[in-house]
Amino acid sequence: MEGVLRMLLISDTDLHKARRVVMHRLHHENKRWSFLFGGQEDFYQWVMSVANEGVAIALDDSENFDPTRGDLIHWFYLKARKVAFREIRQEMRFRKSQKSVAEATLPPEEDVFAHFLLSDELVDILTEITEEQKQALALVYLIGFNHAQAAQILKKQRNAIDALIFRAKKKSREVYCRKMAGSVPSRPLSTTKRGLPQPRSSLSSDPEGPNGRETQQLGEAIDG
Amino acid sequence: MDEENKVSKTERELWSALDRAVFGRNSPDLLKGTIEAMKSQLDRERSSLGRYLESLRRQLELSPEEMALRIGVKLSVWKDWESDFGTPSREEMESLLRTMRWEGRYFERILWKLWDDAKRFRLKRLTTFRSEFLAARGVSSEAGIAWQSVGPEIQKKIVAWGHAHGHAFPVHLTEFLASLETDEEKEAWIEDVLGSIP
Repeated sequence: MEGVLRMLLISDTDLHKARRVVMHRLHHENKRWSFLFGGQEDFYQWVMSVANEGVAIALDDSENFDPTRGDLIHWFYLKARKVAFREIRQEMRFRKSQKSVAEATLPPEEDVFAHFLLSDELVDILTEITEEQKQALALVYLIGFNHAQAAQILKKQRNAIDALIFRAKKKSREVYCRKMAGSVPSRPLSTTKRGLPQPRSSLSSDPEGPNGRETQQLGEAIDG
Repeated sequence: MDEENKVSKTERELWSALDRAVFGRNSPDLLKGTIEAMKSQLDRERSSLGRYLESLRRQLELSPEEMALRIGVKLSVWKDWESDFGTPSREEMESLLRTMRWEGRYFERILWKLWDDAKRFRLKRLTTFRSEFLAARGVSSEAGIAWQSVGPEIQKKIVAWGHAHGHAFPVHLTEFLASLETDEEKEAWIEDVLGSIP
């Protein structure tokens, strides 16, 4: 996805931005299927094609879009995801007929913070973080942009995004601690099977933290 | 929303935040305007081969120079394609699709359809040049551009059609085009000229 930033400078229409976001999300969540489409270049072209088709289908069918039932960008994504499923199924069928499906599925990459966030474990933070923090979280953890790419979309400096994400994570840590203290008062965080990821260690006030090295590694993996 | 599309509360909230980040708004009334603007951008892209090629190049974050280099054509050729002053041959289209790995993809369907319509598009564009408009902007150069925009193959056919109907084209082409007042008349003329193209 190199060059994304340049693209955003070249074309800043809503259509291009919507495609870019949908493309990135599809690229992020379908990496494990990339082997079906040959090399990385072929996979990128496939994602671009699916995003274009999905957005075109959505716009051609725009009279059926009901803004009270969901968001526009999400609707584009759902249309594109449907196209992606269809094409992956076709490729899988073809592969099976070619008896070459053995190289199949790598487990999807899982981001621990994204897992906690998107599974409603941290739903309470939504009322406690700013709109900008929410937008930054959405671009990074929902779509999979890195901080520099998110900065381009939000027309901010990279370090501003670092700070927004850092503060949102810090808030989520507080919320999580409150929640744990409320539900299981005597249970220390370090005994949980999957501890809450810490903010980037260099920014953290307590890099070794209660979970020590394990949590630090977890935090670095997420921030990476 | 369908059962399979259900999302968590957090995710729903983040999608809304994303809408505001991308479109700058997400109130239903304002989004209608956004959708209309996007549809019009999409229609424009899909209105000609050149416009679609330009859109794909931009999505790939390539300059015209980089794109021309990548598919192995001269920069001037690529620019002609993008501006619909030139149309790739069938072999060039096949090579483009192969090199860009667009074979079998959505782009291939759209590109071939637009390629089939390329001559019609260029002729139709020619009919939109108006003599008074040309006069206001300097007749000779604008008329020359209009004439060049259809390419040598269609030029021959227009000249042949003119001979058959008593017109000295391209000298009197702008006057003739100005006489085509309605869309029906223009379409009929385009059909007539295209009908003589093998």
